[in-house]
Amino acid sequence: MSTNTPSNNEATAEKLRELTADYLPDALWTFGGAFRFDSSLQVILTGMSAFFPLRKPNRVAGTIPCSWSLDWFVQRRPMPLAEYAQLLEKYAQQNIGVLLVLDNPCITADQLNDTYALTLVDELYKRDRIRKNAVCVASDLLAEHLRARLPHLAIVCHPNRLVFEQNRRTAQLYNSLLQQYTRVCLHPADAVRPSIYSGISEPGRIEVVINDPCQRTCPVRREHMRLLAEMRSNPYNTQLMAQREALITRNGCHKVNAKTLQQKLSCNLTREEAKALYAAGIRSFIIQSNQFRNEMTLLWDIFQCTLDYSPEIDNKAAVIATSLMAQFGAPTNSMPSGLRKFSFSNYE
Amino acid sequence: MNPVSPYQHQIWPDAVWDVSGAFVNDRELVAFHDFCTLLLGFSPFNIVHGAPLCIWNSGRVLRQLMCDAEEMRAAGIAYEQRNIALYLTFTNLILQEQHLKDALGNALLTFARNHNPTKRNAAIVASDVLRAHIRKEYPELRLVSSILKITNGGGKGKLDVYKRLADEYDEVMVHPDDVLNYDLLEKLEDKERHILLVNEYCIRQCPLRPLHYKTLSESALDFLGYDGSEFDKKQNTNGCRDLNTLLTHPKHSVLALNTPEIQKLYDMGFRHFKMQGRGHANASAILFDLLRLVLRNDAPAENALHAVGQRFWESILPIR
Repeated sequence: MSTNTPSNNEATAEKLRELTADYLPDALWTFGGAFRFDSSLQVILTGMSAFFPLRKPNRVAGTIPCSWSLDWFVQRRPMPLAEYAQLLEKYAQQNIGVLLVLDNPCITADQLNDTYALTLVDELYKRDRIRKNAVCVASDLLAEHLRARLPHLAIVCHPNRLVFEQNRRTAQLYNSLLQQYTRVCLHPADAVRPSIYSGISEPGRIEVVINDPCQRTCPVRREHMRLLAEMRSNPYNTQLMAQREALITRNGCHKVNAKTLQQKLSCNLTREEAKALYAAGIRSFIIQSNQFRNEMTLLWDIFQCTLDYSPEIDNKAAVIATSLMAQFGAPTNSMPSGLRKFSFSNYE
Repeated sequence: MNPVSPYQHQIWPDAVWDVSGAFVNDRELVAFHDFCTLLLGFSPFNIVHGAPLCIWNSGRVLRQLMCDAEEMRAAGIAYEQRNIALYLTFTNLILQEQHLKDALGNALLTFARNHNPTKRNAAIVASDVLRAHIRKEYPELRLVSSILKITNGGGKGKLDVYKRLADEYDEVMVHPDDVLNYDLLEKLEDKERHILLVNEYCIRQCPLRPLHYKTLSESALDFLGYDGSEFDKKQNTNGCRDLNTLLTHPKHSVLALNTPEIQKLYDMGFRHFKMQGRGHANASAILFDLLRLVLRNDAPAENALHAVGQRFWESILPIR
């Protein structure tokens, strides 16, 4: 046999490459859900490594409750540091970086001294033996604080930083943020504005959240984030939760119009939009999960965003998705059969 | 027929969807049905098929199919209330007269007969003795010829066998490999009485299919004592559990159809499409297929499909 003959494995890998050839072939993926849905992420990582390594993520991302982060639903408990360290090690062993998301955009000078949050960042930095870890922060104040403390820490600018930008968002703004931050996430609305992203000088340092379910033209995004930040500061103030519900209802965030197709209502990117970003040189795509209540939504988004559903190969995308989804839970009725009461808690 | 919703699939809006999971994924199927009805303005499927673990059941013989009487009754009532027809998968190939007295099987037939608002409830069968029993004792129920019948009866690809089955049964399941045999399909009369499986995640032209079905039928008769290890050995080298084979093999890639293949069947006049999936470890795979096959997914709707999927998953599961 000629030494140039590809092995069966290489041939198989090449055939699999056809499944991503027309859709973000060399994208770098970050899967959300770290520190929250880790056991499910492990199933996905194992499955992707074994069957479809082309879409194995480069990084996982997640928040841990602290004064520098937000929770979208209930205020979760902080994670014990030992458990956190164990997870950091586990991802490092798999050569997967960790993006610690610190998405509170309303951090005060007092909150900079949160020792628990500082320890989270210190541990992330100390345990970064594969040099892929980073923090993703939504506050310039916090970024400065961390930069002074850990000059070599990679710091990504979170979309919430852009939500609170007082000036008009332009390519120049992003270029200036790229001077301050290691990498910068686009504001969700800017991911569909070629006039902005095509003017960014280093698109290779831009990150895009591909699955933001909020409205594209949301007029209350800033108010919503401010309420979430207040809920973090005052976790027992139930009035804030009521205010948030009222805001969401008033804005019609969950409304579905059954009579008219709601085209491009959410910030979820279509394949064409994602491909346009890719053509502009952007390679880094984040599948977030902070806005989701459970990991099945994250899984839906992972398979929705990473696979190519072009009509001729959509059956193959479905094989990958359903095979991996079926890995969840032992072969028993982990989802109860029979009609127990269920609630449509997210309905209008 | 439902009025067409802008969220229904753009190519096959009036397809009759026949979904797997009765008596195992009832909660999730009902949740999906109600979600589409309440929020999107259409009923996503018309028929649900399945059976609990019992000696008449086959096709999928798994311990997660065990259920108690109250679960079965509640599930059946929920489908009845939503005008969803129930097809019982009583597809065991090797039943004999002595098996016809099975209490659970007969109780389910009685239930299906008595809770039948669409008059479409049916039993899917592969055994001649069970077919005769149901025709005699439950004449109100319709009969469907099973995939196991055509497969193990040697009828694959044979027009005369399909014609005979169409005479004997109210509906006929087409062999999964024959959904790509367009010459044969063109010649089938009464296309609306033929059911086509569109998401078969087995390999094309599987040499083990008849043995697999025979093994399943044998294990249904002796679920706790059956030794299926010989079959497992054969299956492990068959490629059907290997994702790379399913994705890339030139002859034995996955039998699930892509969109142009389903569209071709639709354009030929077929309307009754079946989705399998009750054998998975959880309901997520069948829900995933429902979302991708029932909802509109072309370019204008892509963003809406994505968001609707997020809404659905968020609505059925608890906060974690």
